[in-house]
Amino acid sequence: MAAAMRRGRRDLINGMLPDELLIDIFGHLECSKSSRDACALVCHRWHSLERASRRSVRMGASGNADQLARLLVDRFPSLCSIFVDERLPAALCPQIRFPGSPASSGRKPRARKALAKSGTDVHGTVLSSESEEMDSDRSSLSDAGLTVVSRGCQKLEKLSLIWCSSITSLGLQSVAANCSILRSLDLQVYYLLYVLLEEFCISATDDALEAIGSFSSSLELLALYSFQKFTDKGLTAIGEGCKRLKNLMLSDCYFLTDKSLLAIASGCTELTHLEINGCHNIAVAEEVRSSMETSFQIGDKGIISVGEHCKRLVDLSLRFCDRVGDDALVAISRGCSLQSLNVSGCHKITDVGLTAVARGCPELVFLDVSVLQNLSDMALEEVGQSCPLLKDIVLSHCPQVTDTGLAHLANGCAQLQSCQMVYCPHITSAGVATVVSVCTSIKKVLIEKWKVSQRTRRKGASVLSFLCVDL
Amino acid sequence: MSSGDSGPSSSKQLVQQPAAAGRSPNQPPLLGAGGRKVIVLKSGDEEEFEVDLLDAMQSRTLRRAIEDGCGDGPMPLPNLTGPVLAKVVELFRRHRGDPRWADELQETEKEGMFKDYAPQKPTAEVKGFDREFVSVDRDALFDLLRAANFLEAPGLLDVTCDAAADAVMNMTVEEVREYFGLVNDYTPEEEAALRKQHEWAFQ
Repeated sequence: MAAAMRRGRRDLINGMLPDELLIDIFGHLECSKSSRDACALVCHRWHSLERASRRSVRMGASGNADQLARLLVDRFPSLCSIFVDERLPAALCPQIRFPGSPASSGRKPRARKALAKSGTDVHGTVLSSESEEMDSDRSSLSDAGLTVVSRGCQKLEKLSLIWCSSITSLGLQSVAANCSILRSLDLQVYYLLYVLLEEFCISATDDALEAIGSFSSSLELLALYSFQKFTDKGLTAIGEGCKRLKNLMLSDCYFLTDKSLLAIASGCTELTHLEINGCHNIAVAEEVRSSMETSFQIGDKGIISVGEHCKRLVDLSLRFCDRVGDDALVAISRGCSLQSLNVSGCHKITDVGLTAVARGCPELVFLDVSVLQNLSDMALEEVGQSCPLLKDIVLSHCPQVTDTGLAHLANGCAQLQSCQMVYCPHITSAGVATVVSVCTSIKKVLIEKWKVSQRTRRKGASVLSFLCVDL
Repeated sequence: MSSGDSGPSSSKQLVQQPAAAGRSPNQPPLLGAGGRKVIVLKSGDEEEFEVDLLDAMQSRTLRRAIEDGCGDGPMPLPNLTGPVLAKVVELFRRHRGDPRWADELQETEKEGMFKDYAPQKPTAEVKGFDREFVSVDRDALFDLLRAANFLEAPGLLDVTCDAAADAVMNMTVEEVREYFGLVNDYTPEEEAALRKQHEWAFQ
């Protein structure tokens, strides 16, 4: 900057604005990496400011993720959000060149070497199909790379590792130990990589959660997708350590049982969002060990405990948790005032549970009760009476719901904006007409086309942005 | 410097009329319409503006001055021109209750002074005003940026920085230099090396 001034050329803004203001402007460019890069190259001063202030990076699949991680950490000392997605194709990251590794030559050999390392001999078929679908030229982020990141970015608040199949507990332990103010941890693994994971994470994943439980006391968000290796032991550690946890998402974590939920419920009392998806497979695993009846009781027990302890819960999603029944919802309705509830496919739930929720949660805005075989008009009537704020409801695949229930719902929930009701055999064109005419805010109706009368179509044409479908 | 220095002749564009001048410095703060306390701000080119005291508190600089008891006479702001100050005063008025800065006021709450200032979400109208506020040419935007920086007003800073960021969004390096009138202080070798580094696989 000084040099620029000395040259006496016009320097409109550099001399007038202090560092903080430029950093402010860069902050508004956080969403555009190319713009920030352009700013960094403008002059020395901007370069150093940009580097010092960059807070988030996204890494795709690169030629050498570990080396890239090392360079990033050196370059950007204030990173607090790192997003690694190994699915992003290398096409998005043109011309990766690292000192001493010419990019174009040696693509195939390197890929093959990487595959050989990851155990082609055992699961050859899976690997070859995977590698074609993903990318052939990459070695993904390893524990070593993640350790470098965790040591270099101790201010890390948000870490997303999507499809990072080489990461094991070691890497995560290092994150837990070094990044003490970590607030959000998102781990997703592609389903088919399960086989691979078995190779890499031999019963080690609970160690990772235990490390996180003992070090990351500021964790607020934890998302575990398809991490089948986690068991109750790991989740118990989270419940004991992460007292500030607000968001917990568990998808396809097959070995988790109510023990986990009990620990989470009693430990993480500030929980506001809880999502447990596709854990019907736990039921299968459980059923092998115990009788069916006990496993159903166990299903309720965990949720009941959540209802008793987590008074701030506003968003609960229990999709396809076969063992959860009315008792769970009754307990939730006593303890929490939900704004959003998704119990899609929880077959055990009936009008009793839904009635309790409707009465206990008058602030309900979103409700997904699709695929509930035992849900009838009674529940809808109760929702209509007790939940005036409801905006969004999903009733699809509810065989017992009729036009009568729908009319109660439409009359009670004046703010309804979206109503999905395909595959409900007892809902007819009359019910659809009621919804469209009574709910003045309605914007989206998902229904079989043949159930929409000419009149409704004329009437609704102006408000229905999405009128479906050719079923 | 920029086109902002156009002097008193631009007072025709003022949103707010200059306040009556010639009051003695020891008078208590004026009472504006509705009995609200007002203060008078005086630009570098001697234009005076009446501002609701609570609106002026959006600026940390003005707030410090007011708390130090400088709010009794016209407050001189020599590095702001009349047109710029007129725009800023109008923004303060529109941003009344804006959570972007009102939260900060609630923290420094004394004697229930800000009890009418419950933060509200910026309305569509305010957002529209903000857009309009910064749809000015480059030099005028820089004047506003400097004013925002001097006044330390969070709402004003947010609006102007956002506009500056929007302006350089998706620009090339050369375009950014041109826009900001920056001098390239890299040697060609340095710049080539840096450019190479930035062709990276993160995004």
